[in-house]
Amino acid sequence: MTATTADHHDDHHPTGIKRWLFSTNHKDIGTLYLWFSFVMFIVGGLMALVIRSELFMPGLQVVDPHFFNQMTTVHALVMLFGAAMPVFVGLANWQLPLMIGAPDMALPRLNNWSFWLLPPAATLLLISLFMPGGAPAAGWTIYPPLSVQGGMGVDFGILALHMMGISSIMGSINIIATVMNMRAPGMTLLKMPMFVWTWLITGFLLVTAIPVLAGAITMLLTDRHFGTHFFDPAGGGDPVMFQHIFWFFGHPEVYILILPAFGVVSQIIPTFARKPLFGYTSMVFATATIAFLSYIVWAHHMFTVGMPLTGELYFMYATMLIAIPTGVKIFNWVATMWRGSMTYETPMLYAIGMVFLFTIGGFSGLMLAVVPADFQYHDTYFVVAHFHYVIFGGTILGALGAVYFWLPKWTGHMYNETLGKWHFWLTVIGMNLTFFPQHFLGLAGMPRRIPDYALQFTEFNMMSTVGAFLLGFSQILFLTNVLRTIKGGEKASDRVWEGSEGLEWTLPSPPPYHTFVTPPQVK
Amino acid sequence: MQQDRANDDDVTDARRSGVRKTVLVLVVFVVAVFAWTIFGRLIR
Ligand code: HEM
Ligand SMILES: [Cu+2]
Repeated sequence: MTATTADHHDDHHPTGIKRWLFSTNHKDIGTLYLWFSFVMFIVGGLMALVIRSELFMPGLQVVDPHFFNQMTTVHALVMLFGAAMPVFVGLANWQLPLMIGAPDMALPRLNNWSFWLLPPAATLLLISLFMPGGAPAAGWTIYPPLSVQGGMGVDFGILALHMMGISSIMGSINIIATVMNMRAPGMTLLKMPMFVWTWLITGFLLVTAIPVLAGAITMLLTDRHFGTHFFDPAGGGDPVMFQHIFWFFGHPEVYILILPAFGVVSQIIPTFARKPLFGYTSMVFATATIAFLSYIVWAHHMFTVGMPLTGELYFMYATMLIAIPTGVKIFNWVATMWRGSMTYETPMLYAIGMVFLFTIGGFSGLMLAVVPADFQYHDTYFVVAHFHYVIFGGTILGALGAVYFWLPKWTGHMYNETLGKWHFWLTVIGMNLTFFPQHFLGLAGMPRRIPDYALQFTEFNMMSTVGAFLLGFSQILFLTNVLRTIKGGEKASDRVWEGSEGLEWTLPSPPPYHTFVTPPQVK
Repeated sequence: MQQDRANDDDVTDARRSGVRKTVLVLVVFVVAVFAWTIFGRLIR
């Protein structure tokens, strides 16, 4: 059977819309994921600008408070499930087969389905904005009783989350199956590039965490419509149990967002420092340790809910433990740069920026982990500042760096370096202007998810809003640069970067439609 | 479809059985976690 069909490996494939609708090719599906997540990034970004416009001044001026709540909720859901998670699945699709010397993902048709669930899911979520009662407005954490009381939009949100969850589960099953079974001969586990390792571990986090979210929102749905009382004290249920279940998913989820970005940075820094990654094995074990710990710290999100003191103490110390493997990783990145022959092309700027800004977010995380301190900080803008440093500074900068790093490989053209540097600096300045003042707002007591605030918070809010618009509009430079690179530009060599190491750089730029049909031999 | 076949046949038989086993284990695991999340609440 294999022999008779083996000669079908030519570059024939459907063209036009069919190429994308029916694609089973990891490169095409990767491209689809990347564009989808960029569109969601813009949609979510516009919602952020609505939020920041309302918060430019105290008082209510731009939107109605209920719409404001819909914006904070849907912004977060769109950014997490529409942008931050899919962008790394897109990168995985493009890169994993190239990096492990496989012809494609292990399950090409499942891959097609994983992607094509996303646009309908996003549509369901977004059309709920136009329904009676509007979109979900209880915050992305959809705590009952508020989420049980919401209108029909909440049901659409639940269905959308289910679909995006199924997509993530199928995507992660595909990734795990690919990495476990499709590696080229000689590519042992401890020879895999860090990006492959971090994705393998993220895959395991996804298959464990997403079904828990699915369970939680299913119970929410039955509480809403089918007479159950999982979370309703009147029927013997408990709303705090929802919080436990949600965060049992939610904390691993934040590591799902950051681990692949760690992987990207571990590819970029050695390339531009022209040195092998310092402490490769410790990197792998640190990543695995972080993943393990991420399952036993969830209740640090609910310190103020009234847990027994022993519970508070346990979750406090367990959370602080995460700083150890995280510190190992940061140390290793810095040690890789130490005495390297560094150059600062755009991907390297993003990687260094990521390490720097993520570390700031890590430190504010440690502050939040201190129980008595969190009693003060919880549900203030300090939390908002914390997670934007780790998610924007970490995850998004990592993803942007990855695009600049691999774009020449994908398109065969070099992007415009000057434009790339402008994009980097404006993004980093915009991001710090947006989120740094939010630390001060939080410490001073400004609550999150409220459309109005007391007068003394005005200046920092104005700075934050100006920063947000700068940040948003800078992304036009990114789009321009990517489009120009796809259309043309200086030819990229196969290796692209002087210091590049790994299988993907042995292929032509751009790589042909089918690659590694005969597996390469890894020494 | 021709394209599917080409992709499919890149997976040698050994790989294919490995992929099957991985998928089976993971699917069972996912379903079990989902079921436990809900039924674990019901039997409390
Ligand atoms: C370095 C270790 C980290 C520690 C010690 C830490 C600690 C915490 C704590 C204690 C909270 C709860 C604050 C509160 O609600 O009062 C929190 C919130 C949060 N963290 Fe972290 N964190 C860390 C890393 C990360 C990473 C890597 C991400 C994501 C990439 C992340 C994303 C979030 C998010 C999204 C929230 C807010 C969730 C919400 O209430 O909406 N954190 N963090
Ligand atoms: Cu957490």
